[in-house]
Parts: sequence; C-alpha cells; structure tokens
Amino acid sequence: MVIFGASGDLTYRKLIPALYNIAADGDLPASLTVTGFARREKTDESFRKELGEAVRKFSRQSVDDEIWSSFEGRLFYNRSEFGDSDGYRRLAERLNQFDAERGTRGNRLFYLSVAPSEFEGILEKLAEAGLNKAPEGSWARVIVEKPFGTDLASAQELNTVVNKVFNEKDTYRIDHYLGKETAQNIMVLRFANTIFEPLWNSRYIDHVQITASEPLGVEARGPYYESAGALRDMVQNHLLQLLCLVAMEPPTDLGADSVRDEKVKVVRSLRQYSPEDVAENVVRGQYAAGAISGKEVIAYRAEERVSPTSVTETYVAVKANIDNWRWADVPFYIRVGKRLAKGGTEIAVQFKHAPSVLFNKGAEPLEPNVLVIRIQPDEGISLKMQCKMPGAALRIEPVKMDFHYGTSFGKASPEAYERLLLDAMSGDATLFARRDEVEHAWRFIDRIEHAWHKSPNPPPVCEYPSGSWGPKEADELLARDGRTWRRM
Amino acid sequence: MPATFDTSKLGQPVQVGQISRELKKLWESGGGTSTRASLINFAIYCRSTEEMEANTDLISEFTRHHACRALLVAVIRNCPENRISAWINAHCHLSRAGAKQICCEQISFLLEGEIRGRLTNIVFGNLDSDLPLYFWWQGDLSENLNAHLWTWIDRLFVDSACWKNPQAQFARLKLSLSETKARLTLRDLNWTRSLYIRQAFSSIFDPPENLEELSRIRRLSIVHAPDCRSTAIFLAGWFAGQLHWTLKSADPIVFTAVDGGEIALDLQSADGPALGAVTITSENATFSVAREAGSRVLRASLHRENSNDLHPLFPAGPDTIIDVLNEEMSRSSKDNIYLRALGKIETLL
Repeated sequence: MVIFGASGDLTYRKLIPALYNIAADGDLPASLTVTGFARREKTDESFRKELGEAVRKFSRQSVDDEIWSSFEGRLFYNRSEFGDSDGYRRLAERLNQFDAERGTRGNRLFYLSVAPSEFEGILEKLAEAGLNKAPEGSWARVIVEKPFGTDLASAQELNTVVNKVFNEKDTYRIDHYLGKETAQNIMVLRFANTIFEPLWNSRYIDHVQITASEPLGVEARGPYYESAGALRDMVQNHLLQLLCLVAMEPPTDLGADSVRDEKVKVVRSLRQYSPEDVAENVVRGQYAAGAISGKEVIAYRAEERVSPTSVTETYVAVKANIDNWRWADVPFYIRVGKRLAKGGTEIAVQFKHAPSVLFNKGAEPLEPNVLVIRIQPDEGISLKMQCKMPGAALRIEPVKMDFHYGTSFGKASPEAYERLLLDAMSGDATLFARRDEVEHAWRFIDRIEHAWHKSPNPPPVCEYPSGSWGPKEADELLARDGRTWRRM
Repeated sequence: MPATFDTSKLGQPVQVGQISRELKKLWESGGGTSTRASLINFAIYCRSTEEMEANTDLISEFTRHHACRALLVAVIRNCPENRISAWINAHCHLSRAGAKQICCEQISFLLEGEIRGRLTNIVFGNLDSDLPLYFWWQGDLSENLNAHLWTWIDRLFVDSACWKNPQAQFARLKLSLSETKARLTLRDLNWTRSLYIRQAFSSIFDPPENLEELSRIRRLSIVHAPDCRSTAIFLAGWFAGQLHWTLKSADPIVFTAVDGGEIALDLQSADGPALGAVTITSENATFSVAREAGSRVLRASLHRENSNDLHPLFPAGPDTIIDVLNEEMSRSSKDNIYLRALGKIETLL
C-alpha cells in the first residue's frame, strides 16, 4: 500500500491507526507493507517514530508494544515531489524489492490522500512508472479521497483522469460514512428482518429525516470551507449515500455492482430542482455568535481566514423528493450544520400517524412511531412507540426501545477506515462510491449551487445562533408540511 | 462557585463537552448490574447552589417513580466572569422484582455570569433524544426562558405560590405562550395542592340533594398556610369558574352568582397544611372539608337542614413538594379548568 500525502493529517489520525487496529485484530495480510510518499524530508525511522506517537493518540484500542514493533517494521517512507519521475522510479524499485523480500506478489494499493489538483500529476507518473498495471494474477488499485470534484463537470473530469490510468473496477472512491457499522447495518435491518420491509414505503412512512450535526465550527479549515460549504462538503457525498441506503430497492445479491446499481437508481430518481424549487425546498444558513457547551463562541464570519462578508453556508436543510413508486410523496428532509447544539449523524424514519379513532381520537394526535438509526456517535437503533402508563386512567405516553452497539456487544466497533481499507485490499467495492453514483449526486447538488450562486434572485443565507438547532427558516420548511424536526 | 458549595452530592465533575462520553463510561462501569431507564427529559431551573443540593435529593426521589434523564441547571448571575461547571451522577433504585437496579442519570450545570444563549444551548445539547421535555422552572420566570426554549418544552411546571408578583408573572406567561405559539402543557403546582380538596367537594355534590345547594352558596371560607394565600385564591377561582361566578369586588372579595346572589370569600391565614379548612355555606347547608397537619385524610362535615349530619373521609393527597410533583406527573392533558379558574381570580393574586 502506498499513501500519497503521507505526511498529512489523515495518515496520522485515521489510516495508520486503522491499519494498526487491523493488525492488532489479526486481520492484516501478513505480507502487507505501507510506503508513505510525500514531499517532506523523513527517513523510514523518523516516519515510524511519528506514526507510533500518532497511533498511541488516535487508535481506538490501546497500543500493544509487541504488536506495534512488528507492525512498524512494515512502514516505509519515500520522499519525493509528486511530479518527480525519479521518485516514482525509486518507489517502483522499492515495491519490487518488497515483492521479492516480503511476498507482496505485485499487488499494489495506492491511496491518494492529496488535494484533487494533485490527482492528475500523480496518476500520470504512476502510469509512466508502470505502477498502474499489475502482473498476471496480481492487482493494482487506487483509493481516492473526497472531494470527488466540486461540481458535475469537475467530477467528470476527475473521473476521466482516474479512469485513464485505472479501470473503474480498480477505483475505490472512499466515503468513510459507508464504513460505519450502523451504515452497513441499514441493509441488514431492512433486508434481514421481515418486519420492516413491508412497511418501508409511502403507504406507512410519513417522511424521513437525515441529520448530521456538529457543535464544532470550521476550526482551522476556514479556507477549505469557504470554497466548499456544507452542501458540497457533506450533502453531496455522506448524506446522499445514507439516503440511498435507506431508499434503495433490495439488490439481487450483495455483489458490489448489484448494491451500487440500486443506489444509483435512487440518486437518479431525486427530483431535480429549478431555482424556484430551490428557494422553496432548500434553506442555507450560517452560524452567528452564540454558545456551545455553555461557552460563548464567535460567528462564522469572524473565524480565522474566513471572509467577513462570506455567504458560505455552514448549514443546509433540504427537502428532497424521490420520484419513484416506493417513495412517492414521502419527503426526505436532510439537514447538516456546524455549531449546532449537539453532535450526531442519525436517520429517522417517521411512520404515519395511527388512524384518528380510538386512542388517537382526542384533540391532540398521538405521536407517531419513529425508527432512528444512529450512525455516530453511540451507534445504535431505537424505536419510539406509544405505551399505556400504569394506572386506572388511560394515559398514553411515548417510550423508546433502544439498542446500543457499544453496550450490546462486548467488542468495540471497528473504525470506518478499518473496514474500508480491508475491503479495498480484498477487492470488495460495495462500500465505495461508483463513478455514476458520484456524478448523479453532483447533478442534484449542482442545481442547488446554481440557484444560490448563479440565479438572479438567490435565496438568502439565514443566520442562526451558534448552539441552536439552525435557522428558523429550516423549522418553517417542515412546518409548512405540518412537520417538525425531531429532537436529537 | 461559592467556596462553601459542597458538590459531592452532584456526583462526578465533568467537562461540558465530554458529558455524553462520561455518561457512557458511567453506564459501562456498572458491569450489567443496572439498567438505565428514561421516558422523559426532566429539567429543573433554579437559582442557587443550595437549591441545587435540595433538587438533587428531590430528583433522587422523583426517579423512584419516573424514569428520566434529569437536567439540573442553577444560574448565578452576579459573578465577575462567565463560567460553567457540570457534574453527572446516577440515581439507582431496586426494581419491584428486586433483581436489578434501575438507574436514571442526572446532569447538573452551574452557570455563572451572563446567561444569554448558554442555558438554551446546554439544554438542547444534553437532551435524551426523541423523548419529551418536562421543565420545572422554579421561582419567577425570566428572560432566560426564551422563545427557543418555549418551543421545545412539552410540559412546563411552575409553582405560582413562589412568585413574588403573580399578576406580572401570569401576564408574562400568557404573552410568551401566545408569541411562541407553544404547544406546551402548563402545569401549576400551586393548583395541584388543592386537587384533593376539589375532588372531595366534587364528591360531596354528587348526590342530587346536595347538588341543588350549589346555586345557593353565599359564603366561602378558606383557612390557608401563611405562604399559600394564592393556593386559596385559586381554589376560590375553581368554584367561580365551575359555578360561573363573576368577581364583584376585590376588597372585600365578593363574587356574584348566576342568580345575582353574592358570595363572600373569607380568607384566614393559619399555620398548618397549605389548605387547612374550606367551608361553603349556602342558605340551608354548610359543607366543610378540613385537613390536620400530618393527616392523610380530609375530614368532611356535611350539614343540611332537616337532614342528618354526615362526616365522610376523603384522601388528603399530596403534601410535600415531591408528592405534588408526582401527582402532576400522573396527569397528561392541558388543564382548561385551571385556565378558567385563573381567569376568574387573576386580579386577586
């Protein structure tokens, strides 16, 4: 495995800790070696030392010195500019040496943990060095980190660049949300149980809410966020992927393309919005000053390296419609935001109200059943239902049946990157985004971006106080439909 | 934080941003011998560290009957700097079967200095998701109970007996309710204190021969504890609301009945229960209900001309604040009778 951009944050915080944990669990292929490829001056030894410190800090399980000392012997560093052919020649020599000495058998996994602007140069040089082609019986694959473009055109261009060097079947676009245990469990919940699927349609489901909230602000990522915004940073990839898992039809089998075929059908069915539709169905917001965890925090526009007149959205609420038979008239409300009251990513499937007879006949209707799938933190599933309170009077109150992964299973869930790296090594692309998925998602997002930035009457950016649950306009988006955001 | 404040009762101190993680650890440390239970979010707002301690005892009792996540927030405004401190603890009680401990978590916050959006944020950020929010706002209402909070509260408990200026407080309450279009259910613990006396009188007038005396009431006398004048006034408001009396004068307090007859309200303060004795006198009958301090029953005395006197007993109902709260928790819907009573006596409070 070769990590391009190995001196970056992702390597230290996620990739190497994930590989260490796979090793600690005994699942790492015995011959795997990891070579960091980056511009900074480092030796194998200094690279290992830095990674050792990082793993001690970021690993989900405590570090066993014996396992680490065996693991660190598989870590190497190749200093080079990304455009320097010699660097790739040295890399090829080293990988060949590993094949001979360590039994890597010509298998290559390239991880592009670099800005998309570097992709083309790196891929060209990989091809020039012949590293994109594996010998007979071996494989060469590439893992690409998001963002997969900034709009449809750039995504298509990027995909073309990647696919010029690697076949689509060898291209793994990583979306770490799909590696989370509960995201994978969505399919199990739906298709390994008989009680949910018969209800999983417009006849019984009133609407679905997908929320990704975090109390953090942009921190040091001001310049990146200024160019991305919440819609492109989160909705285009993570949240639309979750939407697909909730809304897709059962695949014919669990093969990567069977699953991804069904997901593509969902994104293709998303109703495409005109600028007027965007004004009606999408709310964008930006955090103002407020309080988080009881402490005062500054507004987005006052953040470091953020324009004081910025109109970048730190919050988005979208009412999405999937125009197919199953989901006709069932809105999917998606919201994502920074500096919100509480952090968490959850999917809430809200069922229709019970008929207005018997217990539901009073002035105030009983609360509906809600099935909540918590993606993070505290992964789990809960079901809210109505229950009679003990006593002579008929008093009905909601109760919640709650399943927590953490307390129900003795074993901690693996980190998303652990699962995804293992899958990429074993050639299972099910949890990776395919080219057409990404491009269809951009088609949906581009129309919103166009309405915001290129239409003559763009909808306003609504302010919300930090520490709240977003702008009041987002509440009104649901209130117009007689609904409310659920409380997290 | 006052130097004399003993925080041991509040449990383990925690960083505000780490509460979820620390709670998780707390439950995992139980080793499966306890079960966390929660049906509601129960928040209490108070104004001193002493009240925090007292409320922690109260929450411990409350959780015996009502599984909840308790949020206790104390606000001390006159502080040189803005600070926040937090603690977590668990209240565990053996289940009825005695086999397993049922535990509820309490998260306590001490907010010092300027409050602004801080209160709203810590409430929003620490709720048990998808469960109703019951909020007990102790003491006078303030601007801290803002529009954001209003819209999230399902049931608001107040105790109007503690308000320094009930008229102004009720005016504020009504304004907030109308402005925020809140769907919350308002429950006044002061009103709950008279519940069993109201039920006793309702039972007394069930027989038709007593019922006809209702239209002939001419005097209502209430003996109340010194700090429970408003409880007595509310009880008078209940009679006025149910019997369609209108207030004629505030001093002396006189109501006018539907038939034009006048009803004098006589209030007497005496040490003892919140409502020590209530007597209604009609042209031909006297009905009284009295409670002695510490007694678990209400003693009624029914005297009608040309009829034998009767002395039935009724349950006395809640006495302590936790009893009152438990009583309130067993009710669900909006209380229109309370609002009607309030409308009759608001100017007397």
